[in-house]
Amino acid sequence: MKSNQEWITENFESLVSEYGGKYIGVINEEVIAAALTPKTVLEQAIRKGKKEEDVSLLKVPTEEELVCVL
Amino acid sequence: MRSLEFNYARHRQRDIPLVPVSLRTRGKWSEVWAYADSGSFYTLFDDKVADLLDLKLLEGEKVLAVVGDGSFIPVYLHQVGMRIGIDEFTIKIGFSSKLGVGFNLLGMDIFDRYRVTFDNRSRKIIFQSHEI
Repeated sequence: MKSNQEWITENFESLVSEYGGKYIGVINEEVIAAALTPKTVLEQAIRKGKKEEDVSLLKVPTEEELVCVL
Repeated sequence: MRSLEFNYARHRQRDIPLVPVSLRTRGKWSEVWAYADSGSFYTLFDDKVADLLDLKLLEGEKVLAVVGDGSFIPVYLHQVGMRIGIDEFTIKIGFSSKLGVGFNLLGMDIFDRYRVTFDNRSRKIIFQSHEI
């Protein structure tokens, strides 16, 4: 199984398409929660029985933000 | 010298230097990703991360930061515990509700701690620590 780091960098483009504008939480090659705030993401993860410290939080930019910033 | 390497993310044929850092929150560590931005003086996160860390945003030291369009935004500096790889330190992070970019940003204050290489050929960002 890939680390969260590997999985996020390899799947970044599809994450932007699907979750742009949100925070996501990733564990074990899976987006386990998505919300407008990282706190809500962690709350959702905990409700699903995940350990808070295992969650990798990413603020996912929108396509438009990527065009503007880069 | 210790070395940490992070592969670039990619979006539409462009490389994006994203780095996972851990921030101390309520006695635990939360991993939050940020864009390594050599053009940013401060490390800047949006105010939602301050909320995650249970910080009272407006109690931080207020400074004004210039953003891409030349306007000034209010930024509130707070001391936060940070971990990159196995390195742990405390650093002032700026938080703002007006960041207006799609990423949280790792700025030059982090780069002061490392020799940072943007290795575009290998599509990696490399942090080399001076500590043994």
